[in-house]
Amino acid sequence: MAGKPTLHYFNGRGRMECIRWLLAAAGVEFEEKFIEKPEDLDKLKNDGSLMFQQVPMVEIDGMKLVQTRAILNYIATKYNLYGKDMKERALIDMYSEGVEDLGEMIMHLPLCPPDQKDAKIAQIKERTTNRYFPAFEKVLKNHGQDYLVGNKLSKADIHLVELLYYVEELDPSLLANFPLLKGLKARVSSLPAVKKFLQPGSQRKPPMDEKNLEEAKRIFRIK
Amino acid sequence: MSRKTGARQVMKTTEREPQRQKVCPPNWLPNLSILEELKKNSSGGWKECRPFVYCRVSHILDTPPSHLAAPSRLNWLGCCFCRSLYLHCPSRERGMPQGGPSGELSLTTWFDEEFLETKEQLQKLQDGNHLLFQQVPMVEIDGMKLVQTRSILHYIADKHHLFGKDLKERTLIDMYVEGTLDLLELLIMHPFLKPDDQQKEVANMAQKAIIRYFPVFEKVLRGHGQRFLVGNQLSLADIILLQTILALEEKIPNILSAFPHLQEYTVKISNIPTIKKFLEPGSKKKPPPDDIYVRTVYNIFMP
Repeated sequence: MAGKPTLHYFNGRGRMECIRWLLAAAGVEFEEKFIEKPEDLDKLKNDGSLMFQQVPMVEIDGMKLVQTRAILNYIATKYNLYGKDMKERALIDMYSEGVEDLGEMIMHLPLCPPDQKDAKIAQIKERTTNRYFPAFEKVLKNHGQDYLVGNKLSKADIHLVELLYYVEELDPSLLANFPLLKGLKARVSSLPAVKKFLQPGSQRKPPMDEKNLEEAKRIFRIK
Repeated sequence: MSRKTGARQVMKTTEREPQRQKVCPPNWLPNLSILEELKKNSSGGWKECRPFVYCRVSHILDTPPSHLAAPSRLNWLGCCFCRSLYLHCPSRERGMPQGGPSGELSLTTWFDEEFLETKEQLQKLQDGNHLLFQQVPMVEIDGMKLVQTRSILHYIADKHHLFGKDLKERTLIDMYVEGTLDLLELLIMHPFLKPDDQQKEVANMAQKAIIRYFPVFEKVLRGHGQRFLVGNQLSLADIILLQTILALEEKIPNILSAFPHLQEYTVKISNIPTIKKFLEPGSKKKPPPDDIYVRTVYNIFMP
């Protein structure tokens, strides 16, 4: 049997965090090789390890996978978190993509120029309460089941719950009017593997602070 | 009951139907029993025929449009309502369509389009709860209202066997598609940049294509010497890459000059009958974005 998957990224959330969540929720132990300086990234590029010269990259089952979605889809399929058929997969995809759209806005917030930040935060809050949360609340309400798709835990639930934690960090009151989402968050958080991941000392990464941001900018040569 | 009889019986039903409509009535449920009947009565494997399409209505049928040039030993069933086509191979042994790997003879899936031209039309879709996240694209297919481009692409690819034969191939296709979409995204956003930024962005796209993306695919093609990127058959990866190459060539005509394998590949994929047809004038392929396009988009989507 192959060894543990190895994640190549810098020591921060970024685009790798959803992969960490998914692996953790699937109960899969993984190792991390942190990129700490630009030279580490250059080495990976020169090795030919990065298909499009980009991270995240995950070494798993003899492959060097890149592109966040490709990695997530592989892990989800392998660990039965991708529904039972094409139609369930389509729903899971739709929900995951919606979560990703909002997640992307939140992820880019630290990079936002200070004079635009307030407007951006307002937009995120508006989208959350008027577009995304109502959509997912309605899905749960319509079928009355414990999980978003097929009455079974899938990557869609894990991505959404991860997002709920980020929204809570931004503004806890945003979740107030969405009882079913709160229920999903509690339910998924109490699954043994997720519960373990949520505890201090796990491989879950904290919110980005100034230091973390500077480190990322330095590694990826962002001005 | 023989297959022929079955078909004839269904044709009788069709003759009683009202005149042809272009779009499947949205409330009709697929009539799977007719398909089941035909499957039962055939000596060949329906499952062996790849890819095939389920018509939402499953009403039959007529001879296919002649331009599709179907080999005569294959039977084509075309729905006269939504114009989707079935390919029925008469026998397992003769099941492989003539003309090469099944990728070449992939069926044309007919589709209809409802164009948004005003903000009010978008509002109507949103108010009617047709759009999960209040956004388009949205594709009504198989009783679902699919949104989110990637979900739609994946569903169609899955359904029409354009996603490889196993998880490893699927993952490879996923990686290639995601990389290509990053590049295609630049092209999609380009018309909406300020005029001063547009020229700079063309240079940026060219650089990304030539340094980051094209070398990968050139190497893949050179490495296995096959016609398609993955698994020696047409996949979503080929289609997205072709679209991106053609769109880039509109802006930068000699973008492929350093990539001989990609040049040959572009010609070969473009000549696949279904794709060739789509690339001809009069097809549903949309022209390069112009000022009217930009203005329409702003009218519809700006708050």
